[in-house]
Amino acid sequence: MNTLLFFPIAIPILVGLICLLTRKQDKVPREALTVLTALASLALSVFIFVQPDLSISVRWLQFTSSLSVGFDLHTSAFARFTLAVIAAFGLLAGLYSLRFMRSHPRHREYYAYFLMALGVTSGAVLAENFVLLLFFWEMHGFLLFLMAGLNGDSALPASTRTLMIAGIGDLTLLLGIGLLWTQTGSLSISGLSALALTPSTPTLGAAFLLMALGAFAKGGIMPLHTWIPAISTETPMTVMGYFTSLDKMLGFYLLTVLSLQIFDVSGWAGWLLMTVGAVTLLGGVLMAVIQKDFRRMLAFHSISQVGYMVIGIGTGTPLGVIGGLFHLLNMIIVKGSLYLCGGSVQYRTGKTKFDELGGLAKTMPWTFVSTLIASLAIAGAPPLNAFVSKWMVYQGIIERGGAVFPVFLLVAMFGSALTLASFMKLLYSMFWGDKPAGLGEVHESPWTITAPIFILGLLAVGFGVSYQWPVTALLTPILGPGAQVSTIGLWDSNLATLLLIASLLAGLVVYWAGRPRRSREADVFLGGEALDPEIYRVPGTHFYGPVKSMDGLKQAYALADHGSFDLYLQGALVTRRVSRWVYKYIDQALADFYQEVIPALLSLVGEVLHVLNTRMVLTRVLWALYALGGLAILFAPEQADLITLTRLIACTGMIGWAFLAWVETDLQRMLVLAATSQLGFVVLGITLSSGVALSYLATGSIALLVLFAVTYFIRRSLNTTSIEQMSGLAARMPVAFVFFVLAALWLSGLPPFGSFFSKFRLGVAAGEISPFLTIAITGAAILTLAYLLRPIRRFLGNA
Amino acid sequence: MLAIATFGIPIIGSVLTLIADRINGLLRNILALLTVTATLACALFLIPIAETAETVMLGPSTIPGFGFNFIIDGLGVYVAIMSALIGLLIVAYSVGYMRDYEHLGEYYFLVVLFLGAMMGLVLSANLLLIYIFWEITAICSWRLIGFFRDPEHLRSADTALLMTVFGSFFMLVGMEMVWHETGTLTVAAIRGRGISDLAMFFMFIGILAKSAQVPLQIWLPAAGVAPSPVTALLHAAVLVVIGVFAFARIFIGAFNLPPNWQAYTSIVATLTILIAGGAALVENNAKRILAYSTLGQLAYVYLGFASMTAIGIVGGLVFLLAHSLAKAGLFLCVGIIEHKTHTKDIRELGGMFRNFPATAIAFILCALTIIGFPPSAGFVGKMMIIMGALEGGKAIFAALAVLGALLSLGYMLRLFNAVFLGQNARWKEIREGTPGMVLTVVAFAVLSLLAGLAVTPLLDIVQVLVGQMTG
Repeated sequence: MNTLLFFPIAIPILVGLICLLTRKQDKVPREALTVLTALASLALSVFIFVQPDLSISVRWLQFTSSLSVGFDLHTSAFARFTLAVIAAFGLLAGLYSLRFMRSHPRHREYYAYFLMALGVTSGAVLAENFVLLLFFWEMHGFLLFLMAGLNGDSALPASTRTLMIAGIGDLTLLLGIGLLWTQTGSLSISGLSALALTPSTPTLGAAFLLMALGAFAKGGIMPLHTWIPAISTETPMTVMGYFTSLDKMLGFYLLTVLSLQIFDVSGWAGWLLMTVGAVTLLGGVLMAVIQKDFRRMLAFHSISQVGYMVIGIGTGTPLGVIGGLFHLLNMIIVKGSLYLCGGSVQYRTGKTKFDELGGLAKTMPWTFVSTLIASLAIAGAPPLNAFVSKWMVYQGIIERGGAVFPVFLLVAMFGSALTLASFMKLLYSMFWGDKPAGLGEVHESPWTITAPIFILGLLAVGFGVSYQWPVTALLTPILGPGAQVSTIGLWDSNLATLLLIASLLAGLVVYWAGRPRRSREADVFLGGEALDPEIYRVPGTHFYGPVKSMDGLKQAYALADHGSFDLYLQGALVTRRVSRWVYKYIDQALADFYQEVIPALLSLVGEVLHVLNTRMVLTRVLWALYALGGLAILFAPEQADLITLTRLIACTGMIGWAFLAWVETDLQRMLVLAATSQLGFVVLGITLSSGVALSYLATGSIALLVLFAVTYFIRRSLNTTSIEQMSGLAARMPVAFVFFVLAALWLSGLPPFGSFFSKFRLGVAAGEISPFLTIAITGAAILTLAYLLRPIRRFLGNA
Repeated sequence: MLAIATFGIPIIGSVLTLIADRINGLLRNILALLTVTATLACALFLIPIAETAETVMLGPSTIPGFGFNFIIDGLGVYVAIMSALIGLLIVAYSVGYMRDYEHLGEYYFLVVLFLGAMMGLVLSANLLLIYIFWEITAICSWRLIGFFRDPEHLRSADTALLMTVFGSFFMLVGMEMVWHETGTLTVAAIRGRGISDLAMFFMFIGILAKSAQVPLQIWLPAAGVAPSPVTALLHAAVLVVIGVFAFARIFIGAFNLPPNWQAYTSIVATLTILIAGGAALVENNAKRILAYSTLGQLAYVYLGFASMTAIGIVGGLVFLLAHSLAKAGLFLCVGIIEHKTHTKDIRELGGMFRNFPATAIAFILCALTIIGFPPSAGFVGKMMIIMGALEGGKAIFAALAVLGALLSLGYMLRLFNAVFLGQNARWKEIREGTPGMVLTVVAFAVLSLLAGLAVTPLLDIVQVLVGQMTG
């Protein structure tokens, strides 16, 4: 029985993958598969819903011997509820898509992602631990990105933004989960719930905030909301209706789990959530009022409505929380309906701008009625569903109390008023008024499109009129067994509805009775001249112009236009600026340092020495000093000062002549300088141990002999020893080249060649005296390689 | 015996390849493929031996500290199999990619030798022996980076060699000091011994230089001038991985990374993550973007190691594997496109999804791992690294690593969008690379995905080897 829990996850994902494998033209089989899968998911979810808590655990990630995370699934009352809502909504959206997406060029991907999203969302909801939740959570974000990019290149900025914001949410969530884990040692949701944490310590507070940010990004809560309006105009309406709803469900699922089960939000956390909610609510609706395209307007409303839910959850009171969740459920219905209604209009007219629409009420009655119901519902008009949920949120605010609760109430109600106002604009622009000239004959959409939206409309009415059922049967169990929610001051809805219907009927009667009986329709004319009716058409776009020009709001809108409130945009700008700086002043500067500055410094020192070494004067002096030092050690081995002096001479020779070799342009002379430098190693070796010195002398001589020999052959064939003129030697004299390279590497002390062991032993012996000697040897060895690479590079280059 | 075969076969095979090149190109290719296949087979056969962590001593040596000590343990065999597998696929890809170029004998010789040195390195149990193989890889990489013999390429190759040798020579100084302080250079014998900070510092430089961590990172992006399969090899199989391996072998397995070094490593890793992420965001050369990505992602492995928590170390090793598989795939994907369009500049590219659908999908799947999206193994690896950093009390580093992860999402997305999406009128006609090349990138994509789907057994394996390593 418990294995049942895998099916709502696995079936849609697998079928989605199968869809990807189908041929492009197999549209009908794909659609059939989708509907069947959605149906199966719904059936499963309903079946799971009526079961008591189920759980299953499969071994998954054994992090360490003592810490493991399983593939644990569990159905809490809340998870069951969410799962059922997702499945039901998935079926409706699937049905709607049949007609709407039929001619989309990426039909195959659409259905694949559609189903996979259904599966991973179910997975995130059923997950019993946060690692598994994150696993599905991130997959959903990626699917949303793929879906957002379906309309091709124009959608690219929007889909990129979507994924980046999802990424922000995912990563903050990950960090929050990690912090919570370090504090509690637990990753399981039920385990953490049992701890009854309060976000009172800085770490726990940070964990709460970070995880909440994750929920904000998914739920489209300010300040991580901007992906919703961005994709609203770039994706098919079904994606907006379906995917963003799933995202909201997930975001809210997590936010509720966090603030209801894991953390106690009666303190600052609750106030913070309520404030975020209020800002989201007001900001969203203010932006919605001024939009000119219904897709963007709906997007901002969907953000704004989320504000109510956040406030409700932030109250932390049972009434507020249930109100918030009920509002979520209602918004899935209402917003879904609105998106799909908009889709219906777009399907028939191909237009989405208010300017280009109008007068559709007569020709698209079903769409119109559904839109009207949904608009009234979202504005919170009784007796519709959102009225009840908003009322409950208000009650929650009052119940939480505190000094500032009236502010939240005020914001919430003001938000409702603006919502109503903006939907008047939408209804007027799309369905009332005059039809613009550019719009041809428009028919009602086919039933597969109108039926889902009408069903959603009916649900909006049903959940409003008999709100008791969803509240008590679906939502209250989430609070735990035996929980009860008393709705203060709520009405007897049956009586009220009867009265409302009666008054609506009375209004109709008055309208019919007062209608003018005799009338004549004529074209508009002025001074006998017929005028273009388009001039007299009042589009809804100009509604609420004053809102935009109000002091305070005017400036705010200007800032919003400028992207100042767009956290993503600002963040991206800052990131790009910082990245440029890092690239230029750290990475490239370091590259210049290693590739330009250091060689230049080497050359500088080398050139100075080179001038001093005119006619090899310095070199001859050094040879004499080497000899003297050698003799001194041979005859006065007890003289510590002499030994130190000899070592100093040896180091000077090792390093100084490497510099000289670095600037030398003649290969043969370079080798002489190299030999002089190498002799420094040997002299240093003599001061340490004669055995080491001998072995170094032996190995070094072999390498030098080879180098000299190769140079001899080169000179014989090229008649020059100038390095400059040896370009392309590698191609012409490959054998000589290979020997030269091998000997050069040998001389530099690179293993596996012979010099390496001598150099190592020299280093060990030197290390016993002083680490500086070792470092000097190492430095000289690196320089050796550096100057020997110069001719090699020339050999390899093109002639 | 099998251990010797594991690195002996490719080392001898590399010379045979060179000889075969004189005879026939096809023979050379077949020989190279066979040698690497045999290497992989040997490495796989080492698995049962690795379970008991066997040490092998091959003859005495008169040089102080040196000895032919080999160890066949989980860590070594894990990295060996990874490198050999990736190496094999890359050699297979090379057949198609490299066929029109000159000096192919040298190419296959160096690639196979490179792999052989890598095999020797991961099985070595003596610091000096590790060092010897270390430098062989440096020499191989030097010639492979400058393979095309363009002056700019040769300069990059020399930079790479000099910087890594700068590091490794100092590492040798560090080893000399270890010898001085402990009287042994065998990994097993120095286990648990404390050594001076200076010795640690010198060895640390060597590792940083090899793994191209800040501030010694610049040679790796510059090395992108190499042929694409070589770049993939350097980034995924043999070169930068060596630093990580040596860190695990020496600093974790032997010296138990002391707290102050945990902090230093974390600082370097975090800086690398952020600098690499920032640089990758503004770079326009596709291969350089991927190179910055490599050093940034390897820094995650170091961050995991630096936590010195079981979860961090396990996560680091899992991520190392995931990253290598994916990064090899990414470089080869870019290689296919570069091969056909002759450009690496993402501003010139675009709309390549239409021309290279299979490559594009392989690219996405590999990119998922780098970003750390589920269900790839990158998700689990990165998560464990961040959890390890948190558990190790390095919350700030964890937070910055999370920021870096966001940067990696940003630059991978930018790279993908710029190369595969959008419009491009210039290349309407070009199509996918040779079947062999496409198959290879698809194989890498599938392998990265498999690593994610089979993460449960993968974690179990890594668990065992970390247990062996930390005793």
